[in-house]
Amino acid sequence: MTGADDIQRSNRRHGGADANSVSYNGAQNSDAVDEVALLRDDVLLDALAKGVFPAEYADDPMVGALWTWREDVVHGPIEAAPLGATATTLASTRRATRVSGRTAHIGDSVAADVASRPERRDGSRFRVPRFNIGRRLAIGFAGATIGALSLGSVAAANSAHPGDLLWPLVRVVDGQRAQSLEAREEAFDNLHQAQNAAEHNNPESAREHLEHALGDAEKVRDKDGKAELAQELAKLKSQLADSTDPKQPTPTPDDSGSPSPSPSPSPSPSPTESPSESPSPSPSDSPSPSATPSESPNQSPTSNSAAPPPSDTPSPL
Amino acid sequence: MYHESSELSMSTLVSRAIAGDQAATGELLGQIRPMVVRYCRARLGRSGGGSFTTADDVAQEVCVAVLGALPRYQDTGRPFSAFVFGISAHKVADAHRSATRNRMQPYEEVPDTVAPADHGPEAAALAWDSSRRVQTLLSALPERHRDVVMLRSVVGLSAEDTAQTLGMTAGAVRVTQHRALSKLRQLLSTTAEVTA
Repeated sequence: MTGADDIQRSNRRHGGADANSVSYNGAQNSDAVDEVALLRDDVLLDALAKGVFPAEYADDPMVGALWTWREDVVHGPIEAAPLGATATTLASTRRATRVSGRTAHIGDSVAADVASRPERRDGSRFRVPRFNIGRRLAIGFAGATIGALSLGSVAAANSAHPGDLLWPLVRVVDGQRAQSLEAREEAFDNLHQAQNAAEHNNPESAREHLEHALGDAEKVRDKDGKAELAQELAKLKSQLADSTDPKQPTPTPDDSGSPSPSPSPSPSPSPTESPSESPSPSPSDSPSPSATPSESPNQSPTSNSAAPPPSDTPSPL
Repeated sequence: MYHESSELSMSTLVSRAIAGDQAATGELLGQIRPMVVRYCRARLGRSGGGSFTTADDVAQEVCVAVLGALPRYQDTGRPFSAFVFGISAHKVADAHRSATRNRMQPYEEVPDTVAPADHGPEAAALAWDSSRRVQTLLSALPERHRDVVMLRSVVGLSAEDTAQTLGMTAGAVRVTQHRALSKLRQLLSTTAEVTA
């Protein structure tokens, strides 16, 4: 619809205008025209053309309607800004934006359209491509899942113990705790082995494991149950000491003869005295060791004869 | 709006624009576009949404058509404004025809931006109503009468410029505008009596 067609149409219209044009003289002939009224209307339209409302026409509804119409047409905002909040404003706005984009080379209308757009945060006036809502949700869900898994892994690692699947993670996350827990595990392991050895009358092995357990216990932190472990170890230690204690005094007289426990003199001085005094021996009086008071009355007569063999057990703990 | 000097400068701009001067073309468009917009708005009025969307759309099309026709424009003594308004008249006629074929139904949506206070819904409705009333009155006039009133009062052409644009004499324009205004007054009084 551009170019030659428009020119032809324009020319056609222009040429055809003569047929419909009103001749001034013809008008005068056909219809008597009040020249004063004619000039008055000419002045009126000149004023309206210049955007001036003549005061003398204030009560003329026709002039008022023309003025309102002119003002509406002339001062109505040129596109791109929706005029009213009526039903189809947005559709109109979208169409206007399309039109402005299509005629981008027209210049000022496009500039007005662009200027009417809200400026973006980075200063540009152009839209940045955005993800659609589905993609945004997917990304958000993936991020949330990864975050939850990470948090869950760390939480699970906090409750992990040596040998668990997540134990290597604990070593990475909290090396001191890992070392402490591993030491505690080792200590309890050695403790149990020592207890087993003690039950099976293997004091050598029991003492060896106990030594290891004591070494491991030094590495355990207080908050990882060090007190409990130390208590267990002390208990085993005392058990081992008790189990070896009755045999301990016997070697000492062989070695030094100055141990404080007094059972050693009892065998030698008077085997005959003790039976005489033995009917009701008090534990305090008796020279027998305090650890086994019940055995001492029975053993005391026999111990005299069996004194030499106990010297086999050389060392207490 | 068109004085002799401006018409002279416009003819100069047209010559330069035809020769390929981009700056002259831009300035020429800057001069004719406000008049084209007013003409299209006066002819087409506000669209269904209460805005001048359709009229401004047509005005843009007119500007594009004028640009496309510029190299073939022959300055035969006829004013350039007549050439432009000839194109405008045909574009408006095309818009009227396409409007009769338009089967689209407006639908309700929330606007993107808040309308300014002086162009709010009420002001827009009043302006729309007033424009439609005048449009209705003008449609009762003969085509030539309507064009003269439009070019004189809204587009802002002088009687001489209007005469040149429409291919009339200045005297014929004055007689025509006088008769048009008389007819408008008569129509308005009739309408007022009916509504009263």
